[in-house]
Amino acid sequence: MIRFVLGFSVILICQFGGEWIHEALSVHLPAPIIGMMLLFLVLHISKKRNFFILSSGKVLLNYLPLFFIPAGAGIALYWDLLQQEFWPIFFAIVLGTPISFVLTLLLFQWLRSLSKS
Amino acid sequence: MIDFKLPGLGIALTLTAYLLARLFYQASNKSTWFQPVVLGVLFVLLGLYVFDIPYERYFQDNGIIHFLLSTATVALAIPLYQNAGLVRHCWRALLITLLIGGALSSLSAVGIAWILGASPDVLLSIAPKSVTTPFAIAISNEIGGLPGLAAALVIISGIIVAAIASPVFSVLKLDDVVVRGSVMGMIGHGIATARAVEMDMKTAAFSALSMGLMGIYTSLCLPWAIWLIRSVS
Repeated sequence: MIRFVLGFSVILICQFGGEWIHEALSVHLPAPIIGMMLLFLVLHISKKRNFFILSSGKVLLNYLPLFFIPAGAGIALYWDLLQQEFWPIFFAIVLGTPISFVLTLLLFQWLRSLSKS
Repeated sequence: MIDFKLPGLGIALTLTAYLLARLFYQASNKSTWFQPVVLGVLFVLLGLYVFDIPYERYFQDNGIIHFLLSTATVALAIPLYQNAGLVRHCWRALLITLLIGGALSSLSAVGIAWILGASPDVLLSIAPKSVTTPFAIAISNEIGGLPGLAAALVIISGIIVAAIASPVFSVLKLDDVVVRGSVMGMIGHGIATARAVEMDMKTAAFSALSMGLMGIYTSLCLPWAIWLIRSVS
């Protein structure tokens, strides 16, 4: 339990570090991504002594779907706009996303086969 | 009469929705169409409707859970760190894919919406649809879209990628985890990464890395691209 709290605290400190750099230096990268880079550095520096950070972090990652729910329900705010422009939005997302997903997959697979041969 | 607007209800709703979503997900034998994110959001929307709770109120109650979304985003450094060595040997192909894939993702969606006559507000909200939610909100502010709508579209795009990933991989007979994970993260950001975590940690590592790179790339380039289009037209 103590190890979990300790690991969780390290991750939180990186999160705050990210927020601080974002605010103080007005870096245009979002704060959680800066925090992610900080945690990466911490893990890299602490090498073999970072087991407790890894196990706390994995608990957090297991609950990632839960943490998305409040933001995801934000679609409730745009009911009217979604109804007015339903079809353009619908086709942009429902067609655009699979098209770019499949094309990008094929592109990367092709580039990988080039570098292997 | 019970007052359904008491502060504890918002969090209780999220947790109940999540638990129910997990139960359904287990019962469906982990079907891609019954993921906890999708079902959880649907159950919450149902709860908001049934109990007549405004979203702003619900979101205020859920501050702590939304806060932990950022914490978990920071924790995505873990799969990245554990697999950093794997990324080294294929960074050229990854970077080229990122540059082309990112442009493709924005342009295809904006192009379709534009042809079908979407308003400028909506077009600007669609443009950052392949980046993770906090990125999308920041970019949307920068280019003058609607941050909340952008966030919702980002999440729907992520849900689509998370849902179609497994079927698409088996149709294309794609078994390279580097390609699988990277493209899931590029096009489906955090939600697809959450799905990748369920597949295996190697897929998750590439997904997390690509999600970060895509966010950086889009937030650096999209404001310039829109400025260029505005000054030409």
